Amino acid sequence: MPVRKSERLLNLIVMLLETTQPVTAEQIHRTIPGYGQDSWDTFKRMFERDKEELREMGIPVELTAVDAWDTEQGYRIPKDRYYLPDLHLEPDELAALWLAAGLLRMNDPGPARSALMKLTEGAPPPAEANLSWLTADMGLAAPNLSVALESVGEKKKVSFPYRSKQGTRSRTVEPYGLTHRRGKWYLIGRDEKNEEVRSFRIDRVEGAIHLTHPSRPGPEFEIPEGFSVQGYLDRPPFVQGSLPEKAIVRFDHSTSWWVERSQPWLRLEPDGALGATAEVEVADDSGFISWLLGFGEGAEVLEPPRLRELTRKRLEEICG
Amino acid sequence: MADLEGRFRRLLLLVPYVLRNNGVSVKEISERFAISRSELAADLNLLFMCGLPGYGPGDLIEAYIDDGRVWIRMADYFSRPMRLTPAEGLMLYAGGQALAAVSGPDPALERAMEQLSKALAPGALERVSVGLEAPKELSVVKQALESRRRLQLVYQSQSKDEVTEREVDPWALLLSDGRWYLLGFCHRVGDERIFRVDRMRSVVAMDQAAPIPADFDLSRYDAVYFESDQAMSVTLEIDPRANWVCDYYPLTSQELLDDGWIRISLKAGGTAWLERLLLRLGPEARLIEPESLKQKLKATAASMARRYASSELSG
Repeated sequence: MPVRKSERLLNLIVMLLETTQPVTAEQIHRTIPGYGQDSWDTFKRMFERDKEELREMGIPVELTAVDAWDTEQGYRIPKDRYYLPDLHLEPDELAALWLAAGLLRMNDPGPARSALMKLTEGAPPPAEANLSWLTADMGLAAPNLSVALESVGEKKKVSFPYRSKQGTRSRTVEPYGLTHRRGKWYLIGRDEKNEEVRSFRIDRVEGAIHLTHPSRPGPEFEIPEGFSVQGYLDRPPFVQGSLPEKAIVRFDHSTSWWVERSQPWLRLEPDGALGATAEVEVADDSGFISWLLGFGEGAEVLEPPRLRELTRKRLEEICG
Repeated sequence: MADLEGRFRRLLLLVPYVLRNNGVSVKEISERFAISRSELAADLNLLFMCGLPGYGPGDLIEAYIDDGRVWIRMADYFSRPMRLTPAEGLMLYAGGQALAAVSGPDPALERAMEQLSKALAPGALERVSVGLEAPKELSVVKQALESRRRLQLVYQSQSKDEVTEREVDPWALLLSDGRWYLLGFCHRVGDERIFRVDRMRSVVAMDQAAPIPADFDLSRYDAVYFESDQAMSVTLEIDPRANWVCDYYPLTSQELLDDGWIRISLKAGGTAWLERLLLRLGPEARLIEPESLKQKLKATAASMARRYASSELSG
């Protein structure tokens, strides 16, 4: 970032933060030095990029009506969204945050460090700020994670090119939540095209996630009542769908220990010497059979006969 | 030039601090913000041409170093720090959740997490789920690490599908791909090994002391590998519909084939997990090596198919 540009950005922040009413693009063009004063097109290009960079630094630039009659639109940085609220963190709370940040030292440590810098004004960490024997990699260095959380927090629509089994196509999504599973992050939201709530693995986004209307203030959708991000991914996809069929699966003794631990969504009923059984809703036969066979000889579908037959066919295919 | 964007961000942290502590020494700033005196001077120089519109003498920010002390004036609007960015908030929140999984209930951490949510958009963290497992064995391992004591575990290996009893000196606890791993010295094999905490059927702390070696350096373990002795080469060809396999396992190579399938190679310590993976993938995978597994896989599939052949249930 050249010195000129740093000055321009600082002046932009000061102007938009201190203004009593939103300022129009024309006013910004006229006022702030270094904005390619002779050409409107140059200004527009620079200004768009600057807004984007400020947003990436967590500085919200909002576009709102200048007057009550909505005749003109102007920009401002709302103070309540710019300043850190006074959190009054106690020393033991700060110590806990230092430990939390220290845990992630193998991820990109930059954001954790700057967060603590803001919260402590650069005060040095307490002596016991690091558990040397404990470390966690939570995939937090993944690109697009920051904008994904922003969209969830501010309830802003996003669009992005997404790669799935059917190939890559662009999606527009109302993001309801963000969840971490097995080192990967998922955006959960309503896909505008098919109007269904889906999960999108952030690292399958090919390119960038964009806010559809980055400067428009306020939420753009409501989250349906009863939606919960906790546990959204706990149930495997083959149980989710229309008209599921009930199946009964038996796990032998050595497998039921593992099933109890790894499949918290299943309710296991002890089945005497034979191990344990569980009822499973099956909406996708093929997905169910894959899941079942993943337990090897330790699992068998008992009912219905139709799924037993399909499972046998799949096994015979493997026999060749 | 070194990271000018990082410099700009640092400036936005530094200015509020100086404004609240005017006359602070250059030395203290250098320590807090990890910058040299000349970097600090360059940063302050940026401020000279900035201020309120009009940009006259009464509008511009004043910033200078005088007799080893730093002063900034005419910039009240920067006297409070910026709120956290989503990335910063998520980082602390995720780290806090991982800490909570290991430590169990901790009032200070819970209060800190609550305060943290105030620094972000309202409700944002309520819609974030970190979904970490906290198996009960985790607290036993953690206590043994804190008190430097040896562990006795009954372990069900995933790759070989066998149950073993082991005594392990715990060295570290790692979270990788959403799973907790114990890293330590296994007395059964006389070498260091990695164990998945969720694969421990039981674990107890013993009386023996188990010091962590002085030269042990956790940062050398930048990735958890599958299991420690990985003598066997595995090659598969995968239907593109099953390409999640490529993300899930640490591959040594990956190659796109003419028919659109993907040829992948990896190292493994046993074949039990591989047999299950191949049963699961069915027609979406072709096994290339180890050759020896081909017959075994067919035999397993045939024996399983027989259970389904008759109308009688096995048991």
